[in-house]
Amino acid sequence: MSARAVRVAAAAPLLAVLLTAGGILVTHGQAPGAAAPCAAATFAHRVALVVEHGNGQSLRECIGFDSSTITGEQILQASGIEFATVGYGSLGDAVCQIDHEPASYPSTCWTTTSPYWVLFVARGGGSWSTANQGVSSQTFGDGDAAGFRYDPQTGGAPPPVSPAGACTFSAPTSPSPAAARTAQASAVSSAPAQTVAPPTPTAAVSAATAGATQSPGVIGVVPASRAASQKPASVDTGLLLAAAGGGVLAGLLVVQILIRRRRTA
Amino acid sequence: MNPRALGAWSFAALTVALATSNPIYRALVLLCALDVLVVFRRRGTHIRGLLLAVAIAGVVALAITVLFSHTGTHVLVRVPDAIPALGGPITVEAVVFGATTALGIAAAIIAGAALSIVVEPHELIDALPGVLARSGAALGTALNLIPGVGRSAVEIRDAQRMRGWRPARVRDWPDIAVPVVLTAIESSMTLAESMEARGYGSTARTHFSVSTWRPADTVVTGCALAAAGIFVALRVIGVVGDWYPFPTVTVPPVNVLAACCCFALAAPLFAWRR
Repeated sequence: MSARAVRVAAAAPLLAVLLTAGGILVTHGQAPGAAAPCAAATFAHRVALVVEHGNGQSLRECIGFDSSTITGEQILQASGIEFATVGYGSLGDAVCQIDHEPASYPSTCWTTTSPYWVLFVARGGGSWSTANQGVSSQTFGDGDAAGFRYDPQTGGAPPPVSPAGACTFSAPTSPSPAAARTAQASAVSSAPAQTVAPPTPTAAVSAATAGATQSPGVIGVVPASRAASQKPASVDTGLLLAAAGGGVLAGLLVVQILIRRRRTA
Repeated sequence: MNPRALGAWSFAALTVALATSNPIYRALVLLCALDVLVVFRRRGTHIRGLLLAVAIAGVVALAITVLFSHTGTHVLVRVPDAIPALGGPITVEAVVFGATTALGIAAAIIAGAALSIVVEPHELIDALPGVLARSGAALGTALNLIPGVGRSAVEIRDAQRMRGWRPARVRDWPDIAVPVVLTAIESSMTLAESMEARGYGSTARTHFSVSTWRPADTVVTGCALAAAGIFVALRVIGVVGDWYPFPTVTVPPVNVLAACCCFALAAPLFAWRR
């Protein structure tokens, strides 16, 4: 009886370590999905999309669409940028995660103190203003810009960087001149956006005659520093320690229960 | 072991278990608490009922979390939207989060239950600081009276039935309620007189048994309080954070120092003699 107990106690930590190591490799093995810009498609309308991370890094894209308006959620879907939402019933969806920021969130999407994604709207090259509707009901038309900024909830909510350069139309002005200058300078100094020429009337007609069933897609992406990629696969020391210690504690528990049972028997 | 040292350990385990939603730290605290409970439980105590209560609480927490958090990537089934509050997808991630919640509840209950299973209730009342000693004694006495009232209600009902009492309406119930209240008042007067006769309320506190403070108790208290203090400090500076399985389940991050804090809660296993 006690020899079996000792064997169980010795096997438990080993098993726990193996299981945990397997879990790490499986989870870290997946590669983040990359969006392939659909340069061939032509669209009747276009909106600019700006996603600004908490660390200041930003993504800028030009999204084309054929219907008269497009919702913020459709823009995100068309952009190919990773995002996740939580449904709030009749209030629509809330954006919880964009481009893997934050890495995880509670089932209510955010807490009263946690950072969250704020949606900004710029109409026809105007300046940014915060959206008064949720991401699934806020609509955008041709020449508008949608801005998502990860707000740390530590102070005011300044608007995201200018979407200048994302699409060919004029960009909304940023309230802070210095920020606008740096944003535009960086847009100019970086490689020119891979925008295609504005759709010619014939192209628009041909798209319309084709049935106009194409879904919104990416027209151009401003080359920007993407958020840091995931860490390479490595065995976490803390996790190994926890697995080994937990295994020892579980083994001790099993041994104690077996000893007690033998005493009472 | 000293009841005060056990109280400090219980408080520390509770603090660590409730400080984070990370299931790995919660599981470590639960394992430590279970070990302490199994190794040091008094003779004659049964932990089967406690484990059943923990299991029921865990299942209820799991069910509530799974039914009400409609987020996550991997959908198992879809509850029709027509049902208010419950309608929506049920996901693997919600099940994982429910299990995490149940783990926290189990760890907290086991850490608290050690107080009543490892030491005698009267030892706990003795261990209260002087200011709280009388309130503790009064509370303990009041809680002791509840099963007594239940017993006397059953006895009075049986006696009334033997006299041919057959309750038909609600208005018949005073036939039982009045004698139960009168018996309760009478028995509490008797208890008060007997407590006074034994010196309760006098300035000098008497103890039936004197619990001594040994070096091992200092070790246990020091380890437990240091573990809780360091863990809370790590939480405040952001090294230890909350973990959520949404939108997809990831391996919870484990900090080496925080894991060591959890292991320090196993100190009673090495310091105290069983």
